[in-house]
Amino acid sequence: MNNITENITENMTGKAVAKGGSARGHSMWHYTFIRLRRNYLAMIGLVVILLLILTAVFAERIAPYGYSAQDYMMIRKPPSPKHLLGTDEFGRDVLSRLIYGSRVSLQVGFIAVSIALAAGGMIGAVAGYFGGKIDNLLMRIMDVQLAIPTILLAIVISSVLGPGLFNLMIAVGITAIPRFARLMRASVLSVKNTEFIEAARAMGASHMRVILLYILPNCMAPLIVQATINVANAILFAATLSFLGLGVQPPYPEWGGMLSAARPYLRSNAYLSIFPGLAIMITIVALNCVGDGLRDALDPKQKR
Amino acid sequence: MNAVYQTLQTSDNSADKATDRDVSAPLLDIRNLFVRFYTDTGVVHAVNGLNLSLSKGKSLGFVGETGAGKTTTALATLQLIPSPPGEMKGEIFFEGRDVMKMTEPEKRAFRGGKIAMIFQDPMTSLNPIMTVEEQIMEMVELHAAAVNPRERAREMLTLVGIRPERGKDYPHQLSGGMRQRVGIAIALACEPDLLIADEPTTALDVTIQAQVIDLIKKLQSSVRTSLLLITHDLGIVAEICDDVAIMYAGRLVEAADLRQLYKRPLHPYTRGLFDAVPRLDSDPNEKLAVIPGLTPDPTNLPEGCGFSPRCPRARPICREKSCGMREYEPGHFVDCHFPLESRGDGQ
Amino acid sequence: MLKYIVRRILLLIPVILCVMTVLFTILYFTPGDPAHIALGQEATREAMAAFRAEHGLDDPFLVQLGRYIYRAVFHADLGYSYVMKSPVSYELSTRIPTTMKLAFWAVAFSTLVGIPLGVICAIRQYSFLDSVTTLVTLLGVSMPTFWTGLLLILAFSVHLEWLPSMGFSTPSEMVLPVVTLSGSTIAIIARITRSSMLEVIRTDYVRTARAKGQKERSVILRHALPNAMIPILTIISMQFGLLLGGSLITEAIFSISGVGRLMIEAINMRDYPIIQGGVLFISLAFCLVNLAVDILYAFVDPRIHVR
Repeated sequence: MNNITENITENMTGKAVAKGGSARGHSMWHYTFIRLRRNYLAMIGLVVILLLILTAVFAERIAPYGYSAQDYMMIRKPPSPKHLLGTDEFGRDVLSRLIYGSRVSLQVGFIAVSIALAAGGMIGAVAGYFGGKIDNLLMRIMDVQLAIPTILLAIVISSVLGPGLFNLMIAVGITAIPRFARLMRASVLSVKNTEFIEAARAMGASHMRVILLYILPNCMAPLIVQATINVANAILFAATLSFLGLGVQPPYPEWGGMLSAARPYLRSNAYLSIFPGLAIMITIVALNCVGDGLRDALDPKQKR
Repeated sequence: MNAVYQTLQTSDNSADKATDRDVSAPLLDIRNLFVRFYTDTGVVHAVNGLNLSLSKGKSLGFVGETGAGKTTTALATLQLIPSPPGEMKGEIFFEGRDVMKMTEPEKRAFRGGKIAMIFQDPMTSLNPIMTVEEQIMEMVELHAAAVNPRERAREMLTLVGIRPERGKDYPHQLSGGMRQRVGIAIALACEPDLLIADEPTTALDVTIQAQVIDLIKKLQSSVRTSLLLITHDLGIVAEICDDVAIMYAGRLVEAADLRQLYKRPLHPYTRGLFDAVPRLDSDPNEKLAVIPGLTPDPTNLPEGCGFSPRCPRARPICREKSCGMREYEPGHFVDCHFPLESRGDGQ
Repeated sequence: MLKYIVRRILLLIPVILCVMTVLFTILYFTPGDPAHIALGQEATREAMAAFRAEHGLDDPFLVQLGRYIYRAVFHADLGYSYVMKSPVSYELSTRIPTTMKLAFWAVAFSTLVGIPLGVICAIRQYSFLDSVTTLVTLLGVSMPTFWTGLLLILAFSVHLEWLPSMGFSTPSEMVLPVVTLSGSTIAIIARITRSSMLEVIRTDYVRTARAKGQKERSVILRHALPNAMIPILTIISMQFGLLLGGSLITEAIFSISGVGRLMIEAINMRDYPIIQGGVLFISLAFCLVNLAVDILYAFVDPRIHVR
């Protein structure tokens, strides 16, 4: 799903950048927020994400049981007042595990995307700003990476690195680098030759200073949209890797891992397969709504 | 002589008028046309009670600022207003038939076959992935079954001054002027009774503009089609039109024979348009007169005369109600309570 | 045109060679001795040394890399699976047809459903059908493939008992895997088709076509859709990568013995040559599809020659 948005964000790069000259930066974000507030789907998405973040932060207080607390009298029991979403094959409370699982998903989502944003952004900025041989070399490397389907690359990297939360973030993060690099490069190219950059250069600003203070702020809009959608993608990837047994290791709960564990009981205890999937889907839908809303708000012409 | 406004006085009780049309009836007769668009930001009143008519064989210059509703009127005539968000009211008689009441197949036969249109921007109005020849052929296939489409397409290309071999080219391989010539070739391929040219030269270089105007003028007389020329360029109107209609904020404000109107503009807006055009005999140091203010917001039109907020002659009555079109002198219609007496008046 | 195709194919060669190098390098430096994996933990020192010598595992890195690429390119030899005790290319070749069949039907199904759905929604913007489709496609892009698969099995195999939940040989067995794999792709294609069509429908040349008196149906099919196809094709080709990745999951869920399931088994057993070969095959397929789409592009869009 990030492919659509990549395409769209790449298309809008030029326009969005052209609109947000540094002098008008403030008003641009101001209007973006006003437009975003009118989009009720995006606002619902935003609320859902905030709730999820709160859930993850206060998991200990919210969860009725510990994530590994086992109750041997309550093995694979369907939802009941005591266990709202039932219990799993070890007699653990599914709701509690889902609540703790949100930590993994959100951490992987946001940290992996931060890694990709930092690395890809830097690569793209350097390639776009300096151009020539550096640009060519960096972009060919990105092309090679893009030739390998992302989910496969994530699988290879995480099978090499071994399981674990940190490795999961690295694996998912690396796969998203080329998107950000390309997007950043396109943004930089469209800003690079504008007059205010030339003016900054003429005043003797260093390359680093120009990139960080003049170019980056003007390339933020498409990057933010891409990042939002990519968080959704990272969460999906993390769940997929865990489903394949490459992610977070038991007993710590991860939504994809919970689904994987529930598979043998699909016939007897379907609820075990339904709730974790619902949790993943709601998170992704919310992120996609925010991403779509942000894109429309940043580039109102795209709507309609 | 006047073709523009002859049916005006009866436009309010047009029902009985429609029954007794004769041969001298106008080719196109728009009566009390309203077009609105319902958008997120409000209702856009694009055309507000427009009356306009055009006789067979004549050419009418339809002049107004951007946003006055000229293009919308043209699209309404072709029944190409998208609905929703658009809504049309009123009557549009073409050869005595109300096009609003036509069935969809009748409308299709009428678009292109009876009325053809040349669009403003030749860069975007041709399909980028079809050869220009195919695009002309499409028109011929739709309306002239007896003719060999390819031959006709080549003939049309020659007629507009493009070598027929270029017919195999795609629009991006042609220059802007050539693309507009293709647009003209498409429009005239089936010899329509009426050609609507919507600012056909606005998007072109000045040197090309003259060529395109000459071409339209030449073909209009050879194909014997009537012409509705939408423009904001009074110079072009003077060059090829018989009659002029001035539009402001969705209504006509003045309509007359070319000579009459150029000699003696009656409406302050028309006058403002003339004053804003640089003249060869004027003092080069003198500033051009500018009409103060902006065209009114079509979602929020002023009460009374649409021009009153910008009019130097406006009095209280102008802001209460508009005057309505009246024949100030034979064949010269104006919608103004206080028309200008002569060219020197009002300064 | 031919020159363009040849150039594109030539450009593909270095990319594939680089992919091979990258994969080989990653897996070469992965901890874990292949000899251990092949012979088990109890193998004697001598046996392991003999094994290493036999497979050239003591040679310097560059020599091994060169040998790998040389054999792969000139002998279609992708190494030897120490776990399965057979050549990687053999193991792959027995499973490729199944995976290709799955991928082909998934692409065909998602295109045939997604494009018309998107077109109809664009023509009837804001209609009931449009709203429902927008909602369903939003859910569609947000559902993980493995969950879609589980839900479909739950509904159609467990409860309704209409369709089998395993295998991929008979048409009835093919339905659920193909639908699972197509799910999110249909949603994406429908979404991009809708937005692309909405953009094209408002263009001046579509208005020109209407002004010619063309039938609405022909306006859509002759003028709007071909122009809208350009971004749709891009999405389909990019989507193919995700689809190939998704085939891994789909094959695992429905117990289909294709390349994907082979790879998942290899991952669990740390059978690196198989992982390497599988990723290489899927990347090659992905690149070839992208190439095919780029060529198709040139046919759809005459402006491409100029570039």
